[in-house]
Amino acid sequence: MSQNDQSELRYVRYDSARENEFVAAMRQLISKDLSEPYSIYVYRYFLYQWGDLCFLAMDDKDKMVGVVVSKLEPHRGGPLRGYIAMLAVRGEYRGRGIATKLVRMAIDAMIKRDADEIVLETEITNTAAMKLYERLGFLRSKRLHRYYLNGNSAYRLVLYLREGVGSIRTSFDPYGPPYPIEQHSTSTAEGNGS
Amino acid sequence: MDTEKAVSYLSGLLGRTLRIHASDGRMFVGLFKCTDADRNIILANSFEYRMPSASTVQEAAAKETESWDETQVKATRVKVNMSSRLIGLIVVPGHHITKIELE
Amino acid sequence: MLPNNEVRVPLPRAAAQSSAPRDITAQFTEAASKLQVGQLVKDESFTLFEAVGALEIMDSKMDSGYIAPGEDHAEALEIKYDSRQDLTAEEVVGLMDQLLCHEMAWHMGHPLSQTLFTSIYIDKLLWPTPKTIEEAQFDRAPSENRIVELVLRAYCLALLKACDYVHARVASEYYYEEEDFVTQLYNRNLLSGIDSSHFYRLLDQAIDWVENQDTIRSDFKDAIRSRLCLRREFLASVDQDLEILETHSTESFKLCLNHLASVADTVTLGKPVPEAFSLKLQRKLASTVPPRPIVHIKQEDALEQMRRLCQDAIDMQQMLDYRGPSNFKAAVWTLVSRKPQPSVYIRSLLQALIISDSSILGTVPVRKYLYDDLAELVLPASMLLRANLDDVELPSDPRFRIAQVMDSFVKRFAQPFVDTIRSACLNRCRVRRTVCHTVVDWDNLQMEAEEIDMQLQGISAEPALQVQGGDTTFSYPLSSWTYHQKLLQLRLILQMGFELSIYAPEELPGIYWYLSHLCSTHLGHLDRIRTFTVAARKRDLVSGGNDAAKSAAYHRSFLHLERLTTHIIAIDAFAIALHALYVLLARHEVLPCAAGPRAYSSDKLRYELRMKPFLPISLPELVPFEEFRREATLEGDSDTTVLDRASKAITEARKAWEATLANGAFIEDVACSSTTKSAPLAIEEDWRREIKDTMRACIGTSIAIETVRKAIMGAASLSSRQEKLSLDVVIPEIGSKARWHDWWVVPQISPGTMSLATG
Repeated sequence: MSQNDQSELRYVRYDSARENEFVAAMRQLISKDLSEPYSIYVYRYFLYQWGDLCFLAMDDKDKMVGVVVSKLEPHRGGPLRGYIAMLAVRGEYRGRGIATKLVRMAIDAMIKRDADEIVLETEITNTAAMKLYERLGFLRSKRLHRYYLNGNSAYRLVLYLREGVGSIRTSFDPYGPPYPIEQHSTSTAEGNGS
Repeated sequence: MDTEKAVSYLSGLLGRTLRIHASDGRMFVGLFKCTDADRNIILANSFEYRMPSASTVQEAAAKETESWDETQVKATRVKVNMSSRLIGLIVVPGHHITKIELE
Repeated sequence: MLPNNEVRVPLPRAAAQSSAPRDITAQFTEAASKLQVGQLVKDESFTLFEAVGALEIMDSKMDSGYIAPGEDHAEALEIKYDSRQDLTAEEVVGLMDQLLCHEMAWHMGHPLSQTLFTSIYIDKLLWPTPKTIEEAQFDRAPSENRIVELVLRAYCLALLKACDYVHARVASEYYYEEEDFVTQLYNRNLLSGIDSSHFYRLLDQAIDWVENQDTIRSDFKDAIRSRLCLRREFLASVDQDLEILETHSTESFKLCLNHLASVADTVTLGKPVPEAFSLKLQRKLASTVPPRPIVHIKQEDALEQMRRLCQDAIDMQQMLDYRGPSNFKAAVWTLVSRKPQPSVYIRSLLQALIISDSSILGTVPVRKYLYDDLAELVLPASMLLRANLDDVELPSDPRFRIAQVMDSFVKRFAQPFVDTIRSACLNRCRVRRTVCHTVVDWDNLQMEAEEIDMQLQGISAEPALQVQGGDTTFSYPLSSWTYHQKLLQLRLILQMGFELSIYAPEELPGIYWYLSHLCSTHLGHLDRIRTFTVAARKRDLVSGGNDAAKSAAYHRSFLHLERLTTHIIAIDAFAIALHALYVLLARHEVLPCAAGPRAYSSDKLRYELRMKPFLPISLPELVPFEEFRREATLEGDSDTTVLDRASKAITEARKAWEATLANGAFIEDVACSSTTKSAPLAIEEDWRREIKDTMRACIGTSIAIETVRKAIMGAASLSSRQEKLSLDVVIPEIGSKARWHDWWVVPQISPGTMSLATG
């Protein structure tokens, strides 16, 4: 452990020129860490479109010890939503803040690209991941019953980055009278555009 | 074959039914959707075919007219009934592919 | 973590093609080799997003047909187990119990491929698909072992038939595939085409046969008999599960419980036969999902699962007598809120009973149910609800037009109203998520109801009422009723958030403030409704239309309003107390905090995120963040003021919960209160337990408040007011002993090490 602690780590952005080597290392790292299995095309899906939102932690021998994979796209025609799909750190390198650093890099990159919000899911048994994201300001927005193949439930964690993201209301009249007494005189006005 | 030609050849196969033989002897039949430089092939709506075990063959012979769990594969070289099942959308990794056939 | 099944969409089966295949390996390989790293050739309509759902062949985690290198192929596929082999009585008992475990694991939400379909006996019975009961055999040649042939086979077949009924029941109601239940049958059929009479006959034969065996030890005979009887009664229970609407009898479920007790007593007699189950069978099943291991649940868990299922079904009977909408809703809600939550079969059956033949409980037309609810809350003995009953054909008669308008109201509101109670039968995560969505619909419904109210006002010539400030207004009964529904839903969103553990500790002061804010809004609304009901009653008395039926209707409505008010006051007061308590903990920096000092986002953004379900709601409007912040932190109030607020509120809460408990779960009808006052039924017991748990949480809160008071006073006397209090604060998790009630998070507060040293 102490040996690892002293070794130098480098944090790099995914580089498509090194696809074969990187993807193989990522798959190894992630399949060991996460319960869900992913095919090669899962990686393709993320890396071909959002390779710049993937960050890697490499040790002094250029061996991959941590990875975060994410994407960023409009959600149902609404807010620009970042999604953290996978996060993994080699067992012997845990507890050194590598995961936090990687997630911060991904979030910062998404902020630079004008993300409105960032979401992800995590198994409810994965308390370490939950603590990590909550420390970064994420809130649990909902619980997802038996979400994963292994039957475990999940929490959806969300981080808003901009005011007004949560509002889908378009034509609300803020000067409308409050309910219940006075409201009825003007109640024919359309109050809710959602 | 240059890249352009290669792409047009492969594109011409999209949507067609391929039979992909894997290194473990199974065959996968499905609609060709996607491939890459490593021949990692995506098939949609695919079925897995497996050579039946010796005892299954005997059993099937014994049953004669009763046909079950088996689909007649009208391939020239496949004359026995192979057991098949629907497995849906799959990726066959290039390094596990031993033969590709076009229906 | 991305879920593997994100986009696994079933595709239509390709048309069979019969052209001779051509080997294109060389051309394909050469062409592919010309592609750049990262270059894809793909169908334009096929997105990489869809590709995410593809299962990778030859990957042991994804390929259910995968055989590991070194594993012998024949060995891997061959099932060596001989289903005709002799079995001892203890093995038969063991197998029956193993099968019961698999059946219950399936009930719990695991797929058949990981449970029952790993049984070689079950596989043999179901494949090839039998068309008749005779075709459903373990082997073409029957076993000479009668205990296998007669007893085990009858047991397996009856089990499968019960699964068929359960499958059909769940699949016909609201449920979530994979989340609640896996309906996937892998191209097998659970004997759905075979009439249940055959199964009873086989079971009876088996029971007879066992009775007459001299070679089987009597304790084994008893064990086998009780298992066969259990199968018989369970099959009968699920076979006729809707008949309870007519018979009001849960006799077969009760018999199941008796047999289940005998089964539980003899579990140790059985000897499991692990060889009779094989994961290899998964390689034969049509499956678009990754391979998954055999699910093993403990025998006692399986028995408990079935016991609970039967008990829930029995207790359900108690809600079948329709005694008004609020009683009905209270019964359903109490039942579905049981811990652990009733199984998906029970929740599906409950849905089927709730709305059967477009009637509530098969007897109350949906319109009547809706009208009863309106009468209870806003329109007791109202002409608006009677207009449809009178056969008025004269268009000039106001009742004719009222009937028309009310028809349009029923058309629009009946379904969403029934859905509110039906969706309570979903799994708890979905209950909250569903309400988050439907509350927006109810917001729109309220506007529609207002328009209908205004039409009715004109037609019925409702006299205006003078309210505070000299303004006049009308009762708006339908929109008032709608608003009440919406307020209930908004409160449920907040309260279920506690149950599902979605709030961070630092959110607790704000959420409890918001809860009390909703309650006071709701209390104001109930006051308004009461004002109009009182006025209507007065008008009625003046006009001399005072008959017994009217009196009873008004009585029930006032009683209902009173009960609602008491309950909401109780919630409100408790929320105020916890809010104040948490404010103090936050103020003195002893409340645990999930967000770190370098967190992204801000309190304002987190508030927006948390209150997202409330954002699109026009009434009540979301409290603006600044106001929320001031209120939630009790800005400007001294510690003493906040402490007093907490103490006062918790005292009031304890009284109000006492009163709520005394009111009981159900409104007793005046007419039959004397006849129905018997021993409290199971559902009512559950309801009382829940209230008592809440009262325990109140007491815990009182103690916590006093602990904080002492710490603050102590710190003040040491003139170290600014310092962090020396208190240890733990937020008890759901299920822990100190969490008396899911909806009431009472912090566990103990003096910290420092104050222990000083005091």
